[in-house]
Amino acid sequence: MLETRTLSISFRWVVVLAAAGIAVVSQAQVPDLLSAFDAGARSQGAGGALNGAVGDTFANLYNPAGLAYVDRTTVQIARRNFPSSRSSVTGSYQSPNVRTSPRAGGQKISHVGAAVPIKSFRKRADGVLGVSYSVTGVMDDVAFGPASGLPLGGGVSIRNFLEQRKVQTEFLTLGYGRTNQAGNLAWGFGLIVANQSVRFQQSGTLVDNTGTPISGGPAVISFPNESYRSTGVGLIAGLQYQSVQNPNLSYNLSFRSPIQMPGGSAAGNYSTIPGRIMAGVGLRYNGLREGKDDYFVVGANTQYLFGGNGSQSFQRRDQLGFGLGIEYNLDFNSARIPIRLGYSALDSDALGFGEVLGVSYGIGYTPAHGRFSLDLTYFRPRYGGQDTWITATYRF
Amino acid sequence: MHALGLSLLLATTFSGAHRAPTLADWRTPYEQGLSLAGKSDWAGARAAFLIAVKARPNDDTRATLLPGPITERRTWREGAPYSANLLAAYCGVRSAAGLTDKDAQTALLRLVASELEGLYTRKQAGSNAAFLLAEVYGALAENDKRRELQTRLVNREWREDTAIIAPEQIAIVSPGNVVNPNPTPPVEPNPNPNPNPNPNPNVTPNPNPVTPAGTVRPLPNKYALIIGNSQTGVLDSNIPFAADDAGLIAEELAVYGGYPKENIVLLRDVTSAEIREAVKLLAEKVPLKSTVFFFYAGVGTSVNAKDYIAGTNATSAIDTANMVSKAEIYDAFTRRESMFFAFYEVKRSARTPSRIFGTEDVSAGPYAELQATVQGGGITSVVRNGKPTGMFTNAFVEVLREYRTNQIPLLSFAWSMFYKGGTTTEQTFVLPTIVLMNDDAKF
Repeated sequence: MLETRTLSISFRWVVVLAAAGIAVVSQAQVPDLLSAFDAGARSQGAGGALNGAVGDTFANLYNPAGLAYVDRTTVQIARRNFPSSRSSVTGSYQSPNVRTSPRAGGQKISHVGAAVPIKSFRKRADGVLGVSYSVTGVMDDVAFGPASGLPLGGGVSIRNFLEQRKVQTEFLTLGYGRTNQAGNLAWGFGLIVANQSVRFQQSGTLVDNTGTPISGGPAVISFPNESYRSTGVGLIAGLQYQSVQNPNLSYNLSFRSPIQMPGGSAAGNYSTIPGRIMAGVGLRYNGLREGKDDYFVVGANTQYLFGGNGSQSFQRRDQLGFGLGIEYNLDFNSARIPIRLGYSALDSDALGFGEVLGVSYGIGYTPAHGRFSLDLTYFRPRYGGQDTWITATYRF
Repeated sequence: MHALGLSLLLATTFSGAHRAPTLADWRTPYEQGLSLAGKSDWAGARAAFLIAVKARPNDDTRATLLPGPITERRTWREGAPYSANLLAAYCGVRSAAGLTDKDAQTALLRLVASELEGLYTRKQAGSNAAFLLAEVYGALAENDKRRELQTRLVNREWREDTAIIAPEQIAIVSPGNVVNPNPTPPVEPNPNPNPNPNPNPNVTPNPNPVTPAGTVRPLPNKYALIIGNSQTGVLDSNIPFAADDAGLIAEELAVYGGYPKENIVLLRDVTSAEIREAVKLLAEKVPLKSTVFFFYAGVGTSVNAKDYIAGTNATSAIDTANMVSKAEIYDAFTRRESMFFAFYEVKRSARTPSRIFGTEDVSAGPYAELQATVQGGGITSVVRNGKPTGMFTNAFVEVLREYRTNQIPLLSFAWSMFYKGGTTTEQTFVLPTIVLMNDDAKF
């Protein structure tokens, strides 16, 4: 749905500049979480390096082959901060100087998922079904002009200039995974129903050089003020492979199709959620402490986001990212305490967006009976701020 | 190029040609073997284990890793060792016991013996394989081989899958019962498997990792009174697996501890009167200067600085009307000049310190007393053969199997139990209290 608010001004050329203003403000370096927002996967503490190798409900997001290794009905819920940013605009409307500062944002549920081995309700049937709701893209930036007004030219300024760009992308995924007979090759696929809410608004009061609001004239400018939701459908598929002789080495590969998202104006749409190719490898070392059941996992992962498309305000270009991480699983009185450390990076060439990179830390706890797990992750991106996740898992 | 590589990977993975044996090739028959053995279909179980052996020829003491997420180390059957050869041989022995054709029986036992010898050759024989092979030699009247076997070293560190193995059942196949009319040649007891018990808790005692194979010769002067009371009226102190633990201790003492079966009195879920009666009868039966082993699992308490064990009819921790005092039991046997060894699997986490069992010093002697946990500690369990078993009992049995002697050195034994797994957040094993005995007293 497109809403417009109209202001009348005296200068015809302002009509042209108003549209250009969208691009001007987008020079801000907002951390690019629009297409790769992590919903709380436990391996995020290891830089996301093991995202494609997991065997829980997050497999729906990263690699549905991992569903195949869910051996008990499992439910998971994750909660994390939804980062936002605040930008200040100085200079002029045509040639602004923009400074952006990230904020942690509020804590919200980012993932709810369940994975059910089919044999639990239908004997002799193989495979595991997974269903999940996940937030996979977030942007929340508000840009403010100076109180004195943002010069527009011709003696006209925009007083109380404000621009809000807000996007949230959610995936509802139904996945299926299973293994071959030997159990060393898992494959899976999923159907994604993507929901997206987009808001793009600008507002301000046009004033002349005496500070008097301009309320009429031959030219009329419409500040965009649109807010809409859209739905699209995509597919995801993946593989996990281990040699029969060496289950301590695992490879994973997944593909997600770009997802078309109809709706939105030319100024404020995010019309295609990019597709993704993800590949990773994990290596496990066992028996690190004599008499204990410790093991150590090191992983590497790379992802390539392609085919995304958006308006100038939500510009999408191909992105390349990687993660490196380690996870030490400490055996503590038969309870398991994974300790994670990682580094992740995701570039961004899109106008107004900045790369996301930094060091992540994680710790978890699974008691001896293995029924539930709790995992905490802390990420400190280079651009500042901090992100925190908490993920709870219960296995029936 | 990459697409070609991926295609090859998929093709070789899915293809059945020239493939290495997979998990399913041995796992399915192995688990079928366990299932069939559980139904006493020994011939079927042996056939299934032999199929597993074809796919995976070597027994393995280590846990078998299963494919799965790299972040989760999954092991087959909770980390059980792979012992297809041993279990095939064991099922062969059990199967042979049911054969009426003596020639077929002998042929099968010879085949089993060769399989077990193969395990020795490949250094994949643990104490169960050694024990089984000794019994098979006995059944085949190959006493020279049996004696020679006892001189070989057994790798006590080699874990074996004992899910279906019941050593006392192996003994049923022993000579005299089935094949060999000759009596079982006695196995020399290991007089001191750990001649240098080390009082330093930081140093693992029992440096000798080997033990002779074979059945432990029972000694006629060894007696045991074993009591397990799972259900009493002292509800919050009950140990639900106490009766099972008592049964296990009784079985194991007969096989590995040199206690004659007829000298073992096992009581499960009995009243205080029944305990008194059993004490009285056994004390009358015990000759002077005998060795008496006493084990009690259940509720214990202390009232007015005297220790009591509860009968099933006990109603509270402070009412001793339906309990038996520890001193009464000790006195009955020490009056017979017996060496009295008492083992208790009793919770010692009473809210009131004065109620904690095991604080009374009985004036009788000689005796030794070993509690399952420190003061304030509880009793925890582990899963053994699919059943909850007291951690104390489990360690007792494991160490007893390792010592395999009719002269068990108490202090060394207690240290070995401690190192076997005597510490959790709730339960911590202790060393024995020894009164008027030497530290190296043997039970």
